[in-house]
Amino acid sequence: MSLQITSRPITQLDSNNKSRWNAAFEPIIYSGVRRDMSCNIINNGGYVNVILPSGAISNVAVGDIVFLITGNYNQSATITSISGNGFTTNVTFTQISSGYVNFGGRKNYHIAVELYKIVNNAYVLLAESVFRPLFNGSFSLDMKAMIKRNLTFTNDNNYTATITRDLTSSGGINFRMKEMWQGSNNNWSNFQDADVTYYSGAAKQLRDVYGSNLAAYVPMATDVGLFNGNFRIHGAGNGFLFTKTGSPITLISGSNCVYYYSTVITEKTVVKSTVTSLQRGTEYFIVAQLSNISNARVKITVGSTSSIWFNTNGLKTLKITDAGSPASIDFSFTIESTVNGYNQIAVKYIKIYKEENDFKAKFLMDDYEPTLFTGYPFDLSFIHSDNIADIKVSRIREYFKDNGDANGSSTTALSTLTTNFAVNRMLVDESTFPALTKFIDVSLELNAVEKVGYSKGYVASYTAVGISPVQNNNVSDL
Amino acid sequence: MKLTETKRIRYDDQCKDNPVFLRWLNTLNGWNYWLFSRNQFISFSTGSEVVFENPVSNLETAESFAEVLSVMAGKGMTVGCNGLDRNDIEFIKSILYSIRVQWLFNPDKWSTEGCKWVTVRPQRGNFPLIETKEERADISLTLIFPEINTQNQ
Repeated sequence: MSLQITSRPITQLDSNNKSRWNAAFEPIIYSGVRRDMSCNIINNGGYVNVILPSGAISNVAVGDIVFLITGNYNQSATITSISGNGFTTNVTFTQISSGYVNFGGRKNYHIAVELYKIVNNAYVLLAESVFRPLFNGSFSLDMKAMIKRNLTFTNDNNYTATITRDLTSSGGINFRMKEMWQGSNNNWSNFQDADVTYYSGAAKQLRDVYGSNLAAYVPMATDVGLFNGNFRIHGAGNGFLFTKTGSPITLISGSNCVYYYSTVITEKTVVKSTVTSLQRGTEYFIVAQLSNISNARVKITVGSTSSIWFNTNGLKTLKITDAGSPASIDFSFTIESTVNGYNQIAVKYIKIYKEENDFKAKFLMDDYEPTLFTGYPFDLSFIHSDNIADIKVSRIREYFKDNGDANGSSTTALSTLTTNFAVNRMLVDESTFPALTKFIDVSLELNAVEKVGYSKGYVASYTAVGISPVQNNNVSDL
Repeated sequence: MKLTETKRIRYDDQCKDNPVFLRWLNTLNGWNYWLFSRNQFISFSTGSEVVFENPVSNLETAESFAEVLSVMAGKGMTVGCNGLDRNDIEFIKSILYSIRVQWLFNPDKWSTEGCKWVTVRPQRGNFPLIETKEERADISLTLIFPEINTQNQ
């Protein structure tokens, strides 16, 4: 495939967070370049001579127009003669260079694009279209038209479920391309996970921040990162630590276990964080994935705060606040034998989420206060984004009286499905409102971490609806 | 960790007469809700009548000179609110350019039999909203209900 996507409709907010969400009623543009063949340019009697890779000379004929994209040649050229693996053109030679050549002899060259929607982690064909590159090989694919005509606005909320996912007006997309010209016989490109973006049936206004990207509306979990190996062994003390293979201990590892042998049942701090980027005054969630636990248990400690003892495999979390040394927040893992003798535990991953989020997503509503009328349905819409795939989300409702006094609050865990990222309609019902409530402040909060190391890749299986993935070889009648 | 802004929702716990409950799509693919109440003006318009002129050969037995082939008819409803603050004026304003406005067909029974929505159209036009020196204003707008199906030929 000589087509390369060079830019995607993604807004990078900082090193950790990007928004792949776009308004479906604004251009959604992937741009790229066509590069037919690599080549080298040499001198042939004062004219540019283009040397193609072995066996590629059959792509050209005398009289064809080609486009050179090499060094200081960025222009079209006409082939005057062919010899060996090279051809001579009518362009005056100035310097040796290498790059690419596009063959103008490919009649009716165009790019077929199939746009797929991600439904239940599989690709379903949404629409097909044809795009044509400029003569210099650059092209842009605007998905807006294809998405728009497959979009309906039906709010299916029955106002009984807390969350209703709207896949008719939002969803994820990916695409594949095929180069076509008269007599061509090419395959479809593979789906690239990097090309996955999402849309919502929104229209943006002049001067909106982030333009047609919906970054302001995408919830993001500010995770400090995945820590791998940023720990040091604190000491063995009574009993000793070793790895089964005798190699140095790496506690944070996908494969290594810590083996802990003790003749007495005792607790021992085995590792301490060496990460200094955690700051006092900030709350963090520490999330550790434990495995291979046998006759041992582990707890996470920060200053004088400790988690409970964990003695089962899986994800364990601890919320940490100010503790530890003045400069940073140190946390440690303490392992305890539960039976005399040979014990083991593995900490596979540690991920840390910052309590204070730098990006607070907006609900899908302009900056006014809506009204909930007693006895009538009401919902608030938000984007359930890929950015919060790892975490569970809660709906927070804080109640206030007419005079502004707090009147209690309630927290409801939401059943968010991480395979269909879409606009969600969130019910705000009045069944639990305390008396005298006049205002309700609604927000979404990180509830717990569901999984770590979630893959954002998608299964490239497609449901053939009206298409079969067979190539269309003959395009001469287009 | 807060993932979103905190959205303040006003709670109106007063029971209303003559409820007309609307929901409409806003430009961000969210839905807005409002309850109009107390009083509405109902109008009814008919038009686009097509008539077939009946050739009459015998006046004594003829029933008509003209028969109706088709007619268009539909209900309109002007709803409004008095003394709204700027927030509510801005909020209700977004009905006027929404591409999908729906009226709750069963306001009394929706909680037991499920919501039944009927798509209505706001009458477009020029609406004076609020004076910049004022804090409150009235708003009214007309909803065009779906046409009545007749035996059009």
